[in-house]
Amino acid sequence: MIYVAWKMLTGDRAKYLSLVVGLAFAVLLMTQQGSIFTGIMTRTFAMVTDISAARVWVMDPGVQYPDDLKPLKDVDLPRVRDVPGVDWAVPLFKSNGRAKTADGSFQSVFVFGLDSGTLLGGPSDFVEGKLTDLWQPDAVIVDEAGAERLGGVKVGDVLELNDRRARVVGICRATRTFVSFPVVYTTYSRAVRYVPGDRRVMTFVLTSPKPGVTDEELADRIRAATGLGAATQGQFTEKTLRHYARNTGIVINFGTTVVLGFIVGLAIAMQTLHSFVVDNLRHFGTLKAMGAGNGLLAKMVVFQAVVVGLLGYGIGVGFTALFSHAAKRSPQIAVRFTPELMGLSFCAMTVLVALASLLSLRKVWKTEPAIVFRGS
Amino acid sequence: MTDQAGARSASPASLPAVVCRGVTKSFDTGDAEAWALRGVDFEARRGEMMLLAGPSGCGKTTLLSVIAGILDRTAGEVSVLGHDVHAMSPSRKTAFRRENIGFVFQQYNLVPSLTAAENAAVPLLLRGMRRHEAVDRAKETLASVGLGELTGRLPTQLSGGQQQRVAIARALVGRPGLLVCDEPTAALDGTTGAQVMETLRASAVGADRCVIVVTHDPRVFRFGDRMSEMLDGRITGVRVPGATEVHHA
Ligand SMILES: Nc1ncnc2c1ncn2[C@@H]1O[C@H](COP(=O)(O)OP(=O)(O)O)[C@@H](O)[C@H]1O
Ligand SMILES: [Mg+2]
Repeated sequence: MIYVAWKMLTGDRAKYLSLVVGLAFAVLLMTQQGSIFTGIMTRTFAMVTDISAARVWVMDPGVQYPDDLKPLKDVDLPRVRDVPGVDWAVPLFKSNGRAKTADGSFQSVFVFGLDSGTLLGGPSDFVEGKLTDLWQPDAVIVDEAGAERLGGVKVGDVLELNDRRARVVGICRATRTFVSFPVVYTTYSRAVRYVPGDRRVMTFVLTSPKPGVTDEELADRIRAATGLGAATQGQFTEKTLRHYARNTGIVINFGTTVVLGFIVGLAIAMQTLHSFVVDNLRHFGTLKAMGAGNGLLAKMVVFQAVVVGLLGYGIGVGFTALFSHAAKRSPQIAVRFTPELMGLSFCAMTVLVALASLLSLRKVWKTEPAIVFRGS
Repeated sequence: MTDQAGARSASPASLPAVVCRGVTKSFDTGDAEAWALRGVDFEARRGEMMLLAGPSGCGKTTLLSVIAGILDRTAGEVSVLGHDVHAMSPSRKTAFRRENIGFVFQQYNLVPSLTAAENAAVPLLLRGMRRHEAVDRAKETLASVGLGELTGRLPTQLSGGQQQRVAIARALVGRPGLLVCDEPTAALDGTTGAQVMETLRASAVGADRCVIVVTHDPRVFRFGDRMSEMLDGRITGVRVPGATEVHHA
C-alpha cells in the first residue's frame, strides 16, 4: 500500500510540486537566514580563532570583544612572561588608523602590529607575497577586500598610514571581521610608530601554555598573577558572542527571521499537506470502506509527508549550500552553513512534517467511510 | 489477520447471506432527528442478485452502508454472512470488510494515478499480498470482466463503462462473500448501464456469493433475481422482476 500512497502523492504533478516547493522554501528560509546569522556571528570572533597558535589571550580586564581596543602597558608583557606555565608570550597590537589612498581620500583601517620575531597573528593565505616580506623596510600587507576599498592598491604601491610611508608587499585573504575596515598588517615596532602617542602600546599578549598546563589553568594563573584579563580561545569567543547578543539587536533580528521561517514553513507544510489529504479524502474513504485500518492509513499519510519532507529538505538545503558556496567568493557576505545548522533545520523539518501529518491524519481518521456512497 | 471476524465466512448457500430485522437509523441533523431507516426487515441469499429499489431519499444507500458495516445502525439486528457485524469492535469490523465485502460505487472511486490492474489489485494489497502477485491476479479478474487488453490503462484513458468494470473487478478480486453496489449504472447511459449489469451478472453472481445492487433505474430491474422495494425507510415488498405478484418480506 506504500506503493499506492506513493502513486497518490505523485499522481498530480502540479500539486506534488507545490508541496515540495513549499517545504523547500520553508527550509531555505530557515537555513539561509541561519547561515547568514552564523556567518556574521563567526566574524565577531574571527580574529581569535584565526590565530590558532595563541591558546590564551591576555588583555585589559575591561575588554569584551576583539574590536574592543583597550591598550596594555609595556611592562605587562614581561609580567605575563613571568607567570609560571607560560611557554611563550608575544605582543599583538591592534588599533584604528587612517590611510590616505592614491586619490587623496581617507579610509579608516585596522592596523595590526605583529611580533617582529615570530610574526604571530599574521595572515596565512596570500594572493600575492608572503608573510616574511614584512621584514622589508616600511612593509605592510593589506587584505584583499581592503585593498579594493583603498582604491585598488597593488603590491609595490605606497600608502600613507597616519602620515607615514607604508609600502604594500603582499595581499592576503583574511576572514572578514565584524567591522569591515581594511586590515593592514605590519610589525609591532612599526605599528606603534604609525599610531599617535597615547596609544603606543600593545593591545593583546598572545601566549601558549607549557606542556602539562591546560589553557584554562594558564588563563586562571595569568589573571591571578597580573590582574589582567586572560581568556582561552573558547572563553574569548563566548565572551564576544555574549557581548554582541547583549548589546546589539543581531540575535533578536535574526532569531526572529529564523523563527518566522519556521512558522511560515509550518504553515506551508500544514496547509499544503492538509489540502492534499482533503483532495484525496474520497480515496482514503474508499480504502477505509474496503478495509484499510487506521494503522495502515497512518503509514500511508506519514509516508507521503516524509517523502515531501525529505525532498523539500534536500532542495532547501541544496539551495542554501549553493548560496553559501557562491557567497564564499564575495567577501561582503557573511555566510556559514554548518553541519549543526543542517542538523537543526532537519529537526525543524521533522517537527513540521510530524505536525502536518498529524493534522492530516486526524482528518483521514475522522472521515466516515460511508461518504464513498455519496455522489460527488 | 488471525481473529475470527477476519476469517472468511463460509456458510452454506441455503442460508441467507444478509438478514436485517427491525433496523433503524436516525441522523442527528442538529435541531431534529431524521429517520432514514424506520424498521427494515430485509433478507438476501447467497447465489442471488438482490436489487434494492425505491425513490431517491428512501434510505437505500443508508441501508446498504449499514449492511456493509461502514455506518452504525441505531437499533435492530444485522447479520452478514453469519456474523453480527455491529457487535464487532471497529478494527474487527474493518478486517471483516477487508475479507468479506466487495464494493462498487456510483462514482467508480478509482485512484486516478493507478492503472486499471493496480486499482483492481488494491483489495489484495490491503490484505498484505505482494504487489506483483496482486497485480497478476487483478489482471486475471480484469480479463474475466472483458478488460484483459486494457489492464495498463489509467482511469482517464477508459470510458465510464470500462471504469465501472474495473471497479467491479476490484470488488471481485478478493472473492468476497458479499458484493454491495450502490447505483452502479447511474452515471452511465442505458446501453452501457446494461452492459455493466450483464458483466455484474456474469462475473459476480455465483453459488457462494450474495450480490446486492441498489438502483432506482427500471431499465436494470430485469437483471436481478429478486427485488426489494423500499419507501420512506421501510421495505414494502419483495418481488421477482418481471412478475407482478408481490411477496411480503
Ligand atoms: N449523513 C447524513 N446526515 C443526515 N441525513 C442523512 C445522511 N445520509 C442520509 N441522510 C438522509 O437519509 C435519508 C435517506 O438517504 P439515502 O439513504 O441516501 O437515500 P437513497 O440512497 O435511497 O437516495 C434522506 O432523507 C437523507 O437526506
Ligand atoms: Mg443513494
